[in-house]
Amino acid sequence: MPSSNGRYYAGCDIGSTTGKAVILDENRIVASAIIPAEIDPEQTARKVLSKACEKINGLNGTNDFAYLVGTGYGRNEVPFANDNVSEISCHALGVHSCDPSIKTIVDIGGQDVKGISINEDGSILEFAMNDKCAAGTGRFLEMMSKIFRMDLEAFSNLSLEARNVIPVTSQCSVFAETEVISLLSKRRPPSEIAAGIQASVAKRSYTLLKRVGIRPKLTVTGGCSKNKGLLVALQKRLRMDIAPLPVDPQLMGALGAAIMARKKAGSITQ
Amino acid sequence: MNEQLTIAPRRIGWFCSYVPEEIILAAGCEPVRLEGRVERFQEIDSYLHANLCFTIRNIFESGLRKQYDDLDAVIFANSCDGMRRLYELWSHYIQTPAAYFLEIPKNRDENGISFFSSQLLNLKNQLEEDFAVSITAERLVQAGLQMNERRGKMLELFERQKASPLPYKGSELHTLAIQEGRLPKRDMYPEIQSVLEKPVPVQPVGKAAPRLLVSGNEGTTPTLFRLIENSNADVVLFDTCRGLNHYTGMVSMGNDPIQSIARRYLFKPACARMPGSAQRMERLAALIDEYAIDGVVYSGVQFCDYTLFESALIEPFLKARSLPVLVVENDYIWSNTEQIRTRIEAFVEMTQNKRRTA
Repeated sequence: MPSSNGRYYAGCDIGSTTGKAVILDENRIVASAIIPAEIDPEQTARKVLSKACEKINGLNGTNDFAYLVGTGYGRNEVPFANDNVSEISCHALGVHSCDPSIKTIVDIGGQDVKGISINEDGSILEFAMNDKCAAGTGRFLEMMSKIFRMDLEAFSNLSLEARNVIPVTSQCSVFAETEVISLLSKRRPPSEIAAGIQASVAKRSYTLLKRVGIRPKLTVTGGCSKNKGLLVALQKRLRMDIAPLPVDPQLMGALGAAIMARKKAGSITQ
Repeated sequence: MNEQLTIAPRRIGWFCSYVPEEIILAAGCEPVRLEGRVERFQEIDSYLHANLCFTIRNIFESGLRKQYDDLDAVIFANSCDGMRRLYELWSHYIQTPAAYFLEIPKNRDENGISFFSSQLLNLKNQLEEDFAVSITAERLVQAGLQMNERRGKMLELFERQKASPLPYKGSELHTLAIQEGRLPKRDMYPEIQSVLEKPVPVQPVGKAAPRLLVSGNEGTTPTLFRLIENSNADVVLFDTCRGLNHYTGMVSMGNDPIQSIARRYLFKPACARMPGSAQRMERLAALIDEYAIDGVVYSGVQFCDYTLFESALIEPFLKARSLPVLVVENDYIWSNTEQIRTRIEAFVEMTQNKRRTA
């Protein structure tokens, strides 16, 4: 769909596991894309941006953006980016643009968990982020799904069938793997172990969120927002509903970056 | 004693800001701050468990890798338990010709001063015996004056940081302070002087960057400072034991030089090894006002009990004053740069926004 004045603004979020891109015109989202990450973050950026561009007539390539903002851990590797902004600010702005009444975000990505508290204007009020280790992140859930010989989607639904929760107490991903294998070898119900795994990830997010303050409404962003079992475990742990978003929650970082791009382009032309 | 050692001044390592360099200088020796020179850990895991203090791990590995073999002696202190253990390990594995252990009290009163004086006197006597020197009252007074002069110069640099635009980059001052502890005192004198004489910028440079203060323990690499500066913020001040706290407070020489030195060290701005979190926070609040600080980055070396316990008090204290604070942990060599970078950038964005709306 061609833009009203032919100007497009893009946000490109290069995560550890996926690359995301959102393209805006003056009014709305005109294209988006999500791809698995390449080894080289620059390659991921090129690929995901051109995939999003394909959806728009008259936009030939990444050179045609009026402004491009990179975010995510690979933000410094996004080619042609006019600027880069931390993914924490971008998630805050992305979510705020979808629903300004949301005050708290938990962003669960491939290797990071972040708790973010948002101001009235969509900027960061407070944030907390996991340390070095990837416990309680998407990477951890991927590892766990492999033990169950399931793809991530099937694993994310497994805990929904559980009647009980078997606690998984190890904080460390490697020790948790050992713990889960020994539970499985004792022939405990896989769904209940899966529920324990989801509860442990939810607990980690909860600990981070407590540091920034939990104010309703709350939403979940990042790749793990697609994990149904985790969402159920989080609602239980937080004793709070998770607000749905009108746009794919995995795109919030890229959307925030694109909105930032539109703002920055505006301040240049004015 | 080795012939070469009688020609060059003998070098005595000291460890922790509570060890008086005056005593080393008065013995005619060169003080060298022992701070860990390993840039990548290689062998320490074969000796120490991974959950022990990374400063100690670094210094110990530096010793194992023979980076401190040029020292004639080392003075350890019981500032924390890790330092006490390091003394034992060092004596066993590294075997510097002499190693001393200095008791440092926790009470900051007349009893504390009299106890600390007795410990310093022991140290003085041992040094006199081992190095065949006489540490006279006169030499102690001289050493006190020399150290005061250096303190004065460093404090003048920190004082100038109250200005806006900022006269010095935080990373630049940090590097200078690290060198001041590491290099011979007489070589450092012109170095500090030249920074002092460097023209101070008069024109504001670009948009006003948020003014940040680094607190806690930051290590010896400028990594944190550079991360902050590359994220469009300034490090105005670092009130750590390598920064402002190390230089604040002069020795006021009385009749008993040892006691005067003891008093200066016990009463300098305390690090978290001393009781009195409330006073430390009051001091932090005062610095924030004096230096027009917009946000605090509180950094703790992994497994440093003192710093990390105190962060649970400092974080809410600053937040209650509506001052943004970021707590980061480091492994002394700052190997997890990328994760820290994300945090710093988001923190700077948050602080900038707060400034705008204020």
